[in-house]
Amino acid sequence: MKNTYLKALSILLYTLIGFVCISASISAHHSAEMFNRDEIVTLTGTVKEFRYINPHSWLIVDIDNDDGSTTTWGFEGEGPQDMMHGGVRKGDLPPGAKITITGNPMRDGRPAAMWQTIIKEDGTLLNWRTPGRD
Amino acid sequence: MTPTLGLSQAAVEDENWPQIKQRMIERGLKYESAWEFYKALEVDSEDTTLSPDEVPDWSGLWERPGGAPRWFDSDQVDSKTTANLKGEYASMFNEILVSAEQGQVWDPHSGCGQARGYPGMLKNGRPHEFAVTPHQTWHLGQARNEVRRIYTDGRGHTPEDWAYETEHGDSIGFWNGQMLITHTMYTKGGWTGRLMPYLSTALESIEIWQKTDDQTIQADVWIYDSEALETPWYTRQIFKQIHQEEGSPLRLEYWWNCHSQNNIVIETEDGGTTFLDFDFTDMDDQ
Repeated sequence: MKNTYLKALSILLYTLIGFVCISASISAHHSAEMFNRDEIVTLTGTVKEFRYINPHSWLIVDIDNDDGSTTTWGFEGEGPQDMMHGGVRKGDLPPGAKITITGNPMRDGRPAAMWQTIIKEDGTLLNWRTPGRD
Repeated sequence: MTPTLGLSQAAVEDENWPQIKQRMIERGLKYESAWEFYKALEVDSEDTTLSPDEVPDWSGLWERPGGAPRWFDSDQVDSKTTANLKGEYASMFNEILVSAEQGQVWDPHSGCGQARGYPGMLKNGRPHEFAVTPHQTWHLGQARNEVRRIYTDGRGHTPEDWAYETEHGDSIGFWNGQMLITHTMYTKGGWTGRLMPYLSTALESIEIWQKTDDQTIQADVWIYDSEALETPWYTRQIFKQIHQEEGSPLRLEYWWNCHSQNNIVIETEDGGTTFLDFDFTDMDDQ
């Protein structure tokens, strides 16, 4: 129970961090207006693929729905340079890794979001959004 | 252990910056054109060439400091450009702002990763490199695969009969000690960046580049544009060296183009931005 409580507290904390980061962030290669930056989703799932490439990295994650189905979500981050700034390596998110991820969802309802923070199964926080970067 | 990379620093750190900037603006106003300004500086220079042992060390990776958004002019506040725009260029900029207020923002260079060109490349947020030789200086930018050449071998501009407009224009320059002074023309003008102005093909500029300390390269830039600007647009462009510990993985990499799409961004009918259809299940999404 204590672990569950701490995990929930961590998610809340990192969600708040995410909101702080959002207020200053604008995606560099294209406008981020397709994402609703006033909203944040927190989802738990399994990494399917980490596309660690320019101009934007994409983390592809299978999310289990309450009805037993699975939806594949895409989370857009910045390119490898920004990932390196934040200490996020390609090997940090191998296929099969269980994660809890926060992001700003698409306005049109499609299953994608602007990636904010990740908590790995062991509690490690991955936050490539180092202060002052877009 | 993962090597750490240093964070960006403030843009213009000089406490006397407002006074310095005003002097620079007034300096630009003394001349009718960038070319006139350039020739005046050339006259004042004692030795305009570099020998190999005089080449300054501008090696390393450099980036624009400060947080997002990185304006072309670091003194820009919100969407209020410091450029004194006129005519249709003022109208175009106002239209951009009106659309943005309605939540519609489209970056015309988002689609294929094509070069932003000069002068927009100066503000690109990804790493920059400078390759300095006595006869040419190359400015490379990772974002949008920018390459700009500045010829310092004494040649003039491409003769008018042969000249044509290109993304980065035609830049010539000379050295005054460790300062590189350039003149640029024959650009396509165009867009300087998100919520920033468009400029015309009449653009010409003068730049004074110098390394002001181990961590800083700065360029004082005056843009003259008889079509788009009422007065020369002065900005100071700062580049901070990216700190790299031994073993850092960071390199200036080839960036991206339409042949290696990983997210196809399109303009919406009402002038906004969105992704093309995707479901992350096949290679077409990449």
